[in-house]
Formats: sequence, C-alpha cells, structure tokens
Amino acid sequence: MNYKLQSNVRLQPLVLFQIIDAYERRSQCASMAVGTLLGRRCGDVIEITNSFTVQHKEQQVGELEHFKLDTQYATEMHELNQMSYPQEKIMGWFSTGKSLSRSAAALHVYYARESGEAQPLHLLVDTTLRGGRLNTRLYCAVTMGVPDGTRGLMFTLLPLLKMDIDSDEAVALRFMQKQVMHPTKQLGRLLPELVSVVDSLREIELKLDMVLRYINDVLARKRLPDNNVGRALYDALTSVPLLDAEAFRSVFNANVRDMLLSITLSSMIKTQMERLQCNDYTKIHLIRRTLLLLRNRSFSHLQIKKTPKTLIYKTQ
Amino acid sequence: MASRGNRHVRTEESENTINYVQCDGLAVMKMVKHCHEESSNMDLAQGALLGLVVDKCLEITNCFPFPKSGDETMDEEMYQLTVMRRLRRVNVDHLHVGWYQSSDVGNSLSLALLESQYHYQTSIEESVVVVYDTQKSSRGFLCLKAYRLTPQAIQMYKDGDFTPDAFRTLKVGYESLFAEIPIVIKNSPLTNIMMSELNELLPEDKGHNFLDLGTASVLENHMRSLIERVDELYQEAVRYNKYQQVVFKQDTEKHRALAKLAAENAMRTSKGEPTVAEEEVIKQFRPMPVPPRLTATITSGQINTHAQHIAQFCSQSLAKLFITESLQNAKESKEIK
Repeated sequence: MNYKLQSNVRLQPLVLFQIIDAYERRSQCASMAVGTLLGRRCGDVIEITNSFTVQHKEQQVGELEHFKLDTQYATEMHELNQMSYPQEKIMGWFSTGKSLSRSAAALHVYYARESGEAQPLHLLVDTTLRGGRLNTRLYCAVTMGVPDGTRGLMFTLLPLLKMDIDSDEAVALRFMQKQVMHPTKQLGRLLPELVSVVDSLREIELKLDMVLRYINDVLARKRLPDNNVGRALYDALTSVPLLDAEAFRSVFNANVRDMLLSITLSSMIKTQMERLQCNDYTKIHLIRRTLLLLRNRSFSHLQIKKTPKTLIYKTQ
Repeated sequence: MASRGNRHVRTEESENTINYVQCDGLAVMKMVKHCHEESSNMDLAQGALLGLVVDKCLEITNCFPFPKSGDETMDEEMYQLTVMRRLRRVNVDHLHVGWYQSSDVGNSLSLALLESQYHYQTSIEESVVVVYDTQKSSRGFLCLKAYRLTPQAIQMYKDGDFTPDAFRTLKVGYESLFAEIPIVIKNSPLTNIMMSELNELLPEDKGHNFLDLGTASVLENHMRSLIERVDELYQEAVRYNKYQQVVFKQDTEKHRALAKLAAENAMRTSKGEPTVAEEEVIKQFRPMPVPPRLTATITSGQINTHAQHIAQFCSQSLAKLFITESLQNAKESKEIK
C-alpha cells in the first residue's frame, strides 16, 4: 500500500508544541529528539493529532552512526495513550534536525511495522533554524531498487502541510500569538474580555488606516491599482449588512436593555451577598423574587421564560 | 497519616505559598485539546498537571489526561504513576502540581472540587486546580482560572466542622473559601518562532469569534444557572431560619421553666425542703442539631462568580453592540446621501 502523494495531511499545532518541547528537553548527549506521531485516517485525509517523545541512543563509532530507539518504551507509551485517546493510531514518527539523518532508514523499518499496512510518515522539524526559519517538512519513504536485488529507501518530500485547527485551539493560539507580537505588554496575563475586544478594535483601526493609505495612494496615482485588492475590498464593504433602521433600533435597544438589566441584577445580588455573608438570609428571598419578576417581565430578548414550573409556583 | 499531618502544619505556617501560576503553551494546548474533545461528548475532562515550583511561582510545563472513568478495571493511581515515570525518562518535570478540569466556571466551584482539591493540597501543598471554561472559550475568550483552597478552608475541612460558629471563628466566608491565583502564559523563544510561522499557515478568520454578536445563548445560560443557585441558597436560608425559630422557641421555654423552678425552689427553701438542681430542667431541653453551612457557603461563592461573569460578559457585549451601532449609522448616512 503506497502512500498517495495527493493525500491530504493535516497537522494540529499541538504536535509542533510537543516536538519543540521534546527538543528543548532532550538529554545532554542527544543531538535531536525523536518520537511517535499519532493521528487518524479517514479516506484520503490524514490527521496528525498527537505525539509523544521516545527515548533513543546515538553513538558515533568511527564513520558509522549507531542509532537505537527504545522500542519497548514506545509501545508502552502508545498503550497508555490508548487509554485516554483510543481513536489515535500510530501514523509515523517525528525528528528534529537540519535534514534527513541516517537513522531515518532504521526508524522507517520500525514504524512501518507499527503503523500497520499504511506507509509511515516522517515529520522533520528544523530546530537549527537554517535560513532563519523553522521549517517543517513531511516525508514519506518509498522502496526502490532492483527486485530481488539491492533495495533502498527513497524519501520523497510531501506537499506542504495544512494546519487543522479547532476553534478552541485557535482561540488559545491567537491569544499566545498576540503575546509574541506585543512582547512589551504585560507578561501573558489572561486579560478580561472587554480588553480583548478593545484590542481587536484597535487592530481593525490599524488595518483600516493601511487600506485608506493604499486607496489614497492609488487615487493620487502613486501606486498601481491591484484588481484583486479592489475586489477584496468591495467584498468586505458589501458584506456589512444594511438593516432596516427601525428594525436595527429595536434589536439594538432590546439588547442593550437586556445587558444593562443583567448587569444591574448581578451587581445587586453581589452587594446583597456581601451584606448577608453567612448568617442572615432573610433577605435572600427578596433578591430571588426580584430576579423572577424581572425575568418574567423584562427579558424581552432572552428566552429564559421557560423555566420549571416549580419556580414560578413558589413565588406566588 | 502522620506525614500528612506534618505537611499540614507547614501549609498553615507559610501562607500564600504561591503568588502566581506560570503555564507553558504546551500545557495550555494539551488542556484545550483534551477538554474540547471531551466536551463534544458532554463529558467532564480531567487530568493531571506536571511542573515545578520556583520561589513563589508554580510552573506548569506539561499535563496528561486521566483516562475515561468508564473502565472500572483500571487502577487510576497506577496509571498516573506509570505515565509520570515514563515522562520522567524523557526529561519532563515529574512533580505532580495539581489537576485540571473542564467546566463552566460558575458551577465548577462545587463541593466535589473542594473535596478533591483538599486531598491534593494536603498531600502536595503547592498544588492548584485549573478550570478551563469550554463554553466561554468557544466564544473566543480563552478562559483558564487557577484556584487554591485558602488555609482557613483547609483547616475547616480538616476539622469537619461546618457549623456557623466554626465559620465565624475561622473567618471563612464564601469569598475566602477558594483563592484565585493569576495565571501567566509563557513560551520559550523557539515556540514563539514556531507560532509566528504558524501565523502564516492559519486561516485568517479562525480564532476571532469573540466578535460574534449573538449573546442571547450565553447570557441565558448564565442567568438560568444564577437563578438555580439563588434558589438553592433560598432553600438553605429557609432551613436555617427554621432552625433559628426552633432554637428561639426552645430558649423561651427553657427560660420559663427555669423561672418556674427558681420560684419553686424559693418556696421549698422557705418550707425547709431540699431544692431541685437547675441541671435537671436544662437536661429536658436537648440542644438542636445545627444545620451545616457548607453548602450555603459554596452556593454563595458560585453566585458570586456567576454575577462577576455576567457583569464581564455584558460589558464586552455592550462594547460590541456600540461598534455595530456606529457601523449602522455610517451605512445609513451613506444611504441618505
């Protein structure tokens, strides 16, 4: 079963985090980190979702390089991983380094056995940052040579990886990326929500400025107009929906009212709680009644009205 | 048990053992992955945190998930030990510094959480619990919170005394049960480089969903659970009020009986008869069992966090609403022209 070059390989960012961590935590004598890639396969799409580091030994004996992978360790780790993520299968291996090392052939033999009938993939991360970039490349080995004669392995470079990301992970990643871009800001604090909205607004403003500058340049014939940019801009502008003024007002007002009401309520409850502390609960039913009454009357937009009947019954 | 006791004393001596939690990007991503995958089948995700303690800072550098609890045959402790031993061999920090859980933040500060955190903190005093809010995070706000039990809360739980008097003497209120520890996320330079590379590969529109205008569902959920909590608190309050009434009644009766006894005794002494001791009367009134206040305190804490979250959520939603308003105004004025 040969691996098709057109297949779609998707990589989750977590795996890259794990590889870099493995590289940073390698033992003193090791020059690189090696580990198993885990993932799942659905038809033509291959997803690499997880990985774990595997111990290995490197030895330089004269010209020859000895490379030994702790296969027992790899099997044990895989079994442990099966307990929490039973759907993840062995997909191949990763290693760090400038280019394919001699050990790749030995590793290929091992992982070909482990990953069943499918060809194992090899993910190479260049942690030496050659060319000022952190290159990630994906290889797949093909056997070649004369039938019944000498045989060798040929590693072919697969097309650039696609990133596969869930929205939750994207949120975490965006947050951390923002820190990289603005290192002067407070050290990685998780900011309140309002701040992130304001921050993104500021970003939009910057982008708008950039677009405006471009448009002005084009109008002043300082820069050649680009049709693609123009189309993209037009798309963006038309994507803002124009609501009927009346309808917008009513929706807007309903929303604002709900929000303000919720804020008032929650701060009211908080103040009451602070006053009450532990022992005097006589007033709690007052809050409760207000909550229920307000909910029944005023939450025009929210549909909290559908609550268990017992609640309403109790207040009457 | 003796060793546990010793550790305990240390916890009380060194108040505020940890000032902040520093979390590695790797641990964050692993937690997010695990919690996200579990939340899609409505399960609670839990796992262990690994790291080390440096001065007043707890560094979380790795984590691993607990296996699904459906399998009864497996020994969970054995599993944890095996994983830690294996990870140790590839130079991962092997100090067990706490645990994480996926949940809705308001509801998470429950009795179960208190219990497990108590066991953690009594065996490893620096440990924290990290709560990851899946609902909020899918809305675009990364929501990780670290909590620890305060020394008073530990003392209270150790004594197993949840009467109002115990609360008063230890000065435990709903605000001083859990202490929130600020979380800082830090990455190594190499990881930062990797993330900058990733920036080019990521689709532009992913991860910006916090600008989503739809607020009703989140607010609704928050409100609903707030109402539920207030209802619970109300029940507790009713119970406590009943107790107070009963005690009051008993007290008045006791006083009446004692006054009667005093009068009778005065009669008896005047007649030269032996007096009856007051204890005889007091014995008749057995003291009422005091209702424990732990549930009420925890519920209060939950209400408090809910209220905070609602306020935070509403303020950012208002901001977004006003952004839309200005957009709409701009469009309208253009239409008129």
